[in-house]
Parts: sequence; structure tokens; C-alpha cells
Amino acid sequence: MALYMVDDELSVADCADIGIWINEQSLNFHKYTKEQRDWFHAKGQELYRCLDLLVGQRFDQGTDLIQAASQELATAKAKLEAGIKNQKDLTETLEAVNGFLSNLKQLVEMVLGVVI
Amino acid sequence: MNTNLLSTFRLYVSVASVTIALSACTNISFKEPITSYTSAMSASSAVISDYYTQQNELSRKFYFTQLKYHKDRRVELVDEGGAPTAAYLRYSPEGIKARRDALDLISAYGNQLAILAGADYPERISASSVGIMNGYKDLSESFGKLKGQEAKYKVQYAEGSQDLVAAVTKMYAEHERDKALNTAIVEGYPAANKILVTLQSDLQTFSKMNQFRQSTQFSDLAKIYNDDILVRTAVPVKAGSKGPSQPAPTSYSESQRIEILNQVQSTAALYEGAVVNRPDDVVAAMIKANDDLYAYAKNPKSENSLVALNASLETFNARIKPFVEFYAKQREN
Repeated sequence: MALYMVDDELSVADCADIGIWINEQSLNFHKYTKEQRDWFHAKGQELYRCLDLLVGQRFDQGTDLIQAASQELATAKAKLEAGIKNQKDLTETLEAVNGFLSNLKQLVEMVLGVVI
Repeated sequence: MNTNLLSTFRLYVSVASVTIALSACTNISFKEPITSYTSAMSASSAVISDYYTQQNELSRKFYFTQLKYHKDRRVELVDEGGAPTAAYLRYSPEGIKARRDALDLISAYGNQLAILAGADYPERISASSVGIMNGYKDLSESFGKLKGQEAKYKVQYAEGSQDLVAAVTKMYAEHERDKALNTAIVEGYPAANKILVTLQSDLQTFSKMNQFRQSTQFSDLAKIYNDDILVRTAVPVKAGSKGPSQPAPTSYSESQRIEILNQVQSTAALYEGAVVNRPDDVVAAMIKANDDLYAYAKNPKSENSLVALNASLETFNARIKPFVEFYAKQREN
């Protein structure tokens, strides 16, 4: 089930995988401080909420809106993936997660009309 | 009887014998794999159908588990931002029912194949069996009524259902068992396949969301438990006090702490189970069995197609068992 269909398709499974990765970071005591783990935990919870809403609701409606939002989201996803692959710079990863989540929230707002 | 009539009669008897023999052979070769196919299809249809029913329950369970451990959260149907919560329904009952009906239809199709394969005479196929199929004639109409997310695949479901009913109805109309059996398989195959492929796509999403849900719950409960350790192990410093410090106050009692830990453990097991026992894998096995039955029906004398069919049915049955066990356990937790 695709969230949108453009050059770079982003599926629910892709988003869920990113969410699962974020959740895993929230329990990684070796790499992160308490503050960073808490941050990942909060982002994982938020992402779940966004995706749960999108899956459960009429997100396949309003295709035009989705397509308009899709380009930004695709860029955010690409950045996040790059951040995940290259974790040398933690700031970059955190920014990528933030960017991804913020775009997903925008998508929820556009499709469902609700603010998260 | 003159010589010409006698030879004509002999020819008729000979042709009739060969026809009967071929017909009997065809039926014998069809019977076993169809019986096996039918039982596997029925079992998996029931399991997947139950899986769909569980989806709202799983969302709700997650929502209330969060409420249980986050005392500042209220029970609400719509939150302050206007987003519907999972307190009541995340997926519409109409959408779930339509999918369950599609699975029942596939199961009914299999049952009719088995009846046909097992019947000694076409006349023994009871009118009541036809009645079962009549019950599904309106299915495409019920798919047509779906709206929103549930309507995403309504055309595919409706088309698949319609074709399937037509294929099975046709086999009764023809009243020729072996031919009908072959026709039912060959014509029913694309219809059943269309429904199964649509269900598979649907279930891939559900499956991933279930994994993400368990992962999110695991992360949340583990954080609650870990935060409590920090509170427990913190050494309070009393300004100006030279005596021994008092034990730090804990947010949870010992029994509550154990309960959270147990919940973390069972969530980890459910998370693992959700990754391993994927419903879309079961549907993939259903699709493979359907493919092999079709190949076999097209060429029943080929040993290879029989071997392939039996192998895929074995795989199919092997996949269903752990899936059933896991989701029965998930219901308990």
C-alpha cells in the first residue's frame, strides 16, 4: 500500500521500518545518552501515531494533495536513509528523523485534516 | 443384427468404455489433491478471516496499554487535534466483513470442488450446495458499497467474487463432473487469484503495522521500566544531613514493577511473533497452491504437476499451523 505514487514510492512498510529503527535506537544504551534515547522514544511514538492514522483513515483519498506533499516527503526519506547509513554525524541523523516526521505530520494534516 | 450394425454397436461400446475409464481415472487423480487443497484453503481462510477481525482489537489493546501506564492520558474517541483515537474502531466493520466474505467465498469454492470431485454421480450434488453459492451472489454488491480506505480494492474484490460465483455456478449447470471440475478450476483460478493477490497486498500493510505496533509498545514499556530503575537507584542527597540517606521513593511498587517487566517480556515475544508469523506469507502459500492446482488441472497426467501440487500443499499446511498458534496466543495476551 503506497502512501503516494511518484518517482520514489514510499510505502507504509517503508515508514514502519523507519519507525522500528527509531524504536530500536531508543533502547540502545551503548550509542546514546538518556536524553538522546528519550528523543528517539518520543519520535517513535509520534511516528506510530501518524502512520496508524494514515493506515486507518482515508489516506488514499485526495490523491492531488498527497502527490503535492510527496516530493518533500521523498526528499526527507532520502535524507533519513542517508543519515541511517552514515551515522558518523548524529546531528544529521536527528535532523533527518525530524525532517521525515515533520513531513509525515504534514501529510496527515493534509489528508485527514488533523494536527498532530 | 447385421455385420455393419454389430460393428457399429461394438464401436459404441468401446468408445463408451474408454470414456468411462478415462472419466474414472480423471476423477481419482483429482480427488486427493482437491480434498487436500480444500482443507488447507478452509483452514487458512478461517485464520486470515480471524486475523482481520483482530485488527481493531489489537489497535485498541495498544491504546489502552498506553493509557494504563501513562496516567496523564484520558480515554477519548477524538483527541484535541481532531484525530480519531483507537479507543473504538480503527478499521470499519464493513471493510472487515467484506474481506471476510471474500475469504469465505474462496473456502466455499474449494468445498464445491471437493463435493464435485467426491461425488459418484453428478445428480448427487445437492441443490443445497448450489444454494451456498447463491448466498455470495450479492457479495460484489456489498463491496460496491464500501467507502474510504475500505474501498481501495473494492473493484478487484467485486470482480473476483463475481467470476468465482460464475465459475462454480457453471459447473452445476453443465452437470458433467470431470469436465465441470476442470472448468471450475481453470475458470475459478483467475478469480480466486485476483481476490488472493488483493488480500495479500492488504495484509502486507497490516502485517508491517502489527510489527511496528509491537515495536512501539516494547520501546514504551521498556522506557517506563528503565526510568523506574533510575528513580530507584538515585541516591537522595539531604542538604546538611550527616545521617544515612533514606531509600529513594519509587514510582511503582514491587508487584507493579514485576508486572511491567512481564508486559515487556510478553510484548517482545509478540513482536518476534509478528515478524515471524506474517499473514501475507499464508496468503502467498494460498496463491502458490492455487497456481499449482491450476497447473495440475490443465495437465492432470503429468507427475511433475502432481508432485508440485502436493509439495505446495504440504508447505501451505506447515505455514498455517504456527500462524494459528501465534494468533491464538496473541488473543490471550
